[in-house]
Amino acid sequence: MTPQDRLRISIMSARYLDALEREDDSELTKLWELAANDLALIEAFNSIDAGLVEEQEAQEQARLKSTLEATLENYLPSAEIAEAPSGPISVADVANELFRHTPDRLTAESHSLNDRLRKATQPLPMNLSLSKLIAWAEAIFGTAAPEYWKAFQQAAIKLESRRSAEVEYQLAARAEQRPKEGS
Amino acid sequence: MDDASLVAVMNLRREVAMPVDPSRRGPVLLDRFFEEQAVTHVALPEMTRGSVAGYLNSQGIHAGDLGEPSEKLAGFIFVTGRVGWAFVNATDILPRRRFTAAHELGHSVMHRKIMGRFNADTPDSISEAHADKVTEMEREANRFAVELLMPSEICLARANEMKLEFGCCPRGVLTYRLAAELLVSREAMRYRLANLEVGDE
Repeated sequence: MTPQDRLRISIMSARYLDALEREDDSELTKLWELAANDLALIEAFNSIDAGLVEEQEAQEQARLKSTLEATLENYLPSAEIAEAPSGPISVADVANELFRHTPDRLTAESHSLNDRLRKATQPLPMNLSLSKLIAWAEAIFGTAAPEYWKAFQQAAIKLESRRSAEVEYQLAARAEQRPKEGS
Repeated sequence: MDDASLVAVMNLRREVAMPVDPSRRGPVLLDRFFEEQAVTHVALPEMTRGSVAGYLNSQGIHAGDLGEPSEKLAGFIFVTGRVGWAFVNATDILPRRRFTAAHELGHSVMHRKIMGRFNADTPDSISEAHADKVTEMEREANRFAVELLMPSEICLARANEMKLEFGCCPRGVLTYRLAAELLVSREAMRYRLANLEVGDE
């Protein structure tokens, strides 16, 4: 394909995307007619369609997830959605766990900080010892009552245990399922 | 005192920035050590392997097979990743629970790499005084607990205070006073003072 071909396909793709967004059926028909005998252009349009479908599915899933989470939060605050372990545990994961299982005697300020941390995507630090966790967290999120950070550490230990134990269990299960040599 | 256990306690104190301070009165604050090791400690009444598994499952932690569910336990340590859970028998009296907790902390500090995911302790394996029939790992954890809960510096300092005050230091009286201050059993304290050769027999 020559540079001119690539430029032409880019321009036509941009027109196609624009027509899709404007839902301009006559322009879309015209573009598909132009592409009828141009395999490279058909491929480009198909790839745009696939990308859009994927994006819309992801948006739909995110919308459903957020609706479900909001419903559970309103009507069944102690419930939680079990998700397959993926990526490091974040501050938001821990804050959400604390939101679902709030220890007694947390101050209003602690609740307010916890609400803020439910949106914090930073992964937890490697060292979860209380003094290091507090130093790390307060440098980023500001100070809080020691009771809050103790509760935060306990919730972090619980999530870390769940995650690690699940990974170790799956590894062990996989090792057991592996067929014996020669069988 | 076994070198490995003594060194482990010294390193832990340094790491946690909690050196022995004879001028401070009262028991060793075990909570701080657990917090700095990222180990949660839990007391379960009439503890068995089954109740530990049940507790971990209730926290959403897939503990796997922890052994015969009905077996009665004094202590239990479960480690996974960079964190852990120490269990003690809530039915035991406080000094015994503290000794068990320190023993489990010893496993967490000294034996993480060799013990696998968990270690279960029967009442026989945790000895506040002498125990001849336990494994080397259990002996190390017992020694760790002794050194952590009954620092030699405190024992010596209180003995000197008694001598200054009364002109003598009967080991029986010192045992009683130190056991009360450090929240350990008198049997454990007596054994510790005898080993350190502190106090008059």
